[in-house]
Amino acid sequence: MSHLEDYASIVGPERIDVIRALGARLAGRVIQNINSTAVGGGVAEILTRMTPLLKELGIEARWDVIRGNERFFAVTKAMHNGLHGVPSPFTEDDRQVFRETTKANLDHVQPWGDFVFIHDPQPVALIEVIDRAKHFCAWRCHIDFTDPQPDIWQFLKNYIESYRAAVFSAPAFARPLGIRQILIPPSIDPLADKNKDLPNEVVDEVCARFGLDRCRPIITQISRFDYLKDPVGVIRAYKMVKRHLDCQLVLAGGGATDDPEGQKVLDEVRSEAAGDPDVFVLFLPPGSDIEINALQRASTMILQKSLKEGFGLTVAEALWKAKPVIAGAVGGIPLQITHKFSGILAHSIEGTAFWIKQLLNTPRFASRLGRNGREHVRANFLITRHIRDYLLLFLSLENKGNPIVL
Amino acid sequence: MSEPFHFRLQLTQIELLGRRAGNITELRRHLREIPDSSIYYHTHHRLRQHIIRSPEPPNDFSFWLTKALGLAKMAETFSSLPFASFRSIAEIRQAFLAPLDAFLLEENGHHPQAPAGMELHLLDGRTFLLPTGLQARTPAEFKTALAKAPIGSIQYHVFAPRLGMAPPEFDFAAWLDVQGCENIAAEIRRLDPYTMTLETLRTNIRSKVAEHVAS
Repeated sequence: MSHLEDYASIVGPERIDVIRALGARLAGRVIQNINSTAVGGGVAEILTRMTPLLKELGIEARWDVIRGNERFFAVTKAMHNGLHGVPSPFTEDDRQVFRETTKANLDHVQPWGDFVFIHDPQPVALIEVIDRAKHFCAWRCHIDFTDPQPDIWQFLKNYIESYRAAVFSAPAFARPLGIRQILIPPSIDPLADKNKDLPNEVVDEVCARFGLDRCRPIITQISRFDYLKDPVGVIRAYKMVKRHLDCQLVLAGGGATDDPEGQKVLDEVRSEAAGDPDVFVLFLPPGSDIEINALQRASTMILQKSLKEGFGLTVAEALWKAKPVIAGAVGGIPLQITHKFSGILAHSIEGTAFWIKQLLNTPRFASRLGRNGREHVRANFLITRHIRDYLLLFLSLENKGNPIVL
Repeated sequence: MSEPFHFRLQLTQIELLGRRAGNITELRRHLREIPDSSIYYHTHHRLRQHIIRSPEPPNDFSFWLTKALGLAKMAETFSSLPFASFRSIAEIRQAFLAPLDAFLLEENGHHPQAPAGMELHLLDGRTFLLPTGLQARTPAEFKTALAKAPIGSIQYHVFAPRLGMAPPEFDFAAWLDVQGCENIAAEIRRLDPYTMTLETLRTNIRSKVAEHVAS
């Protein structure tokens, strides 16, 4: 388990001192996180890493997970797609399932924190049963709200406006709301298995296990098998490149318990990749962080060809490993990549293929993109900055005015 | 005996105002309506990124005018305003509005529109002040503390008081005046802090204080 002190050599002792100073002002307080999955996806990853660090500060950080049946998660997946701008039916029956599941969850998820921090739409309706005079409540949105489906947005908005504040990952996600909206981009943990330095032998072993040839270029996309990550588009871009340049493609990822669509997407990806021995479709079980880390480190470049994206933490992960990244200009990705400075922003399959060829043919330029990207992540997207922002959020929930003198 | 100077560290929480501009008309409307703290945020937060991202720190408005609207001349006007001479956010606001008004008159309805996804999202900064534990009772102590102060502390004490975003007594130069160091205070006020990195700013202020302490 990592300790705050361990991050000092990465971000500088000054930033750790600031975190400790802020943490001292919240020591003894209870922060209750509530989300819908304990495993898989960026939210669970961040909470897993952040909770012990908050505890180290003397804050009683807790994490509760709501329960739901298959029907509930089908509804919330449809909501998720609709909020990302993908047309999705949202019926009165769906609303009823959503409300009933919220009620059913009260049997085992009681709000009891000084601060109740609710993540994403699935548990948003819990606000209706929380005594807001006793608990400071904030809602954390991890998804892309640039163009939400109006009926789903309106349904959620009624709940969101009951919170004291809403937290979004990117400026473009802000909506006209009657409550404060705070910008807090997510983060990666440089000391987590997924991001820590690895000996070359481990990278070699993982590549050998999956049959990858380290002597030839490796292009990788790490993400859940989800239509919004466009894995089929990635294979098509790879095929355009393969006509001119030798390379291998890795599509690796797992699933999340709140995503019922994964298997269907995986089947389509396998079908698109069929017959090409240089395409590696790897469905990784939970806990494959070392494998993901090794695959990223073995890669010549990383893709994140998302069509919609909450934030796209896999971009930060790749940049932290100083890898050149080509990514869709959606969601929080433009915050992580300045085009041609710290990575490449692409808008189409053809554009992605064009830039893959460019970077394969100009390795020094590609390398510079990776180096710049790593420094940008160090300054903005590591867990230490994220903890500081959350501490400021909690302090701002119970303190009014500007400035707030601590 | 005068009060010691306490070095404070500014931390900023970014708030989303839920406002976006896609053209000059919308930018002008927002610039008239957004709070002072929002203008301060958009014109000062890039100073911290000066070293990594760009040799000069354009403010967000200038950056957006270039990148999204392709208005290079207007962008240059926005970035080359005499920020070091301004003593309030109201002055900055007025300095931004004047060229926008002129543009809208001259262009006769020709309004470039930002491409989808490149709108300017208006943000606000909420300030938190933390004590750094550093304080100075004499210019010599001030010089020593200045070397140790976090860079966010230098930024706060140089920029916020001069624009009315912090009490005047938080200004380095104001405190040095009280110490009887009017000459050095005047030299610090003469610096244009918008055209150098914060580390260069620290070095420049420190060397001026050092000259005084040595003499």
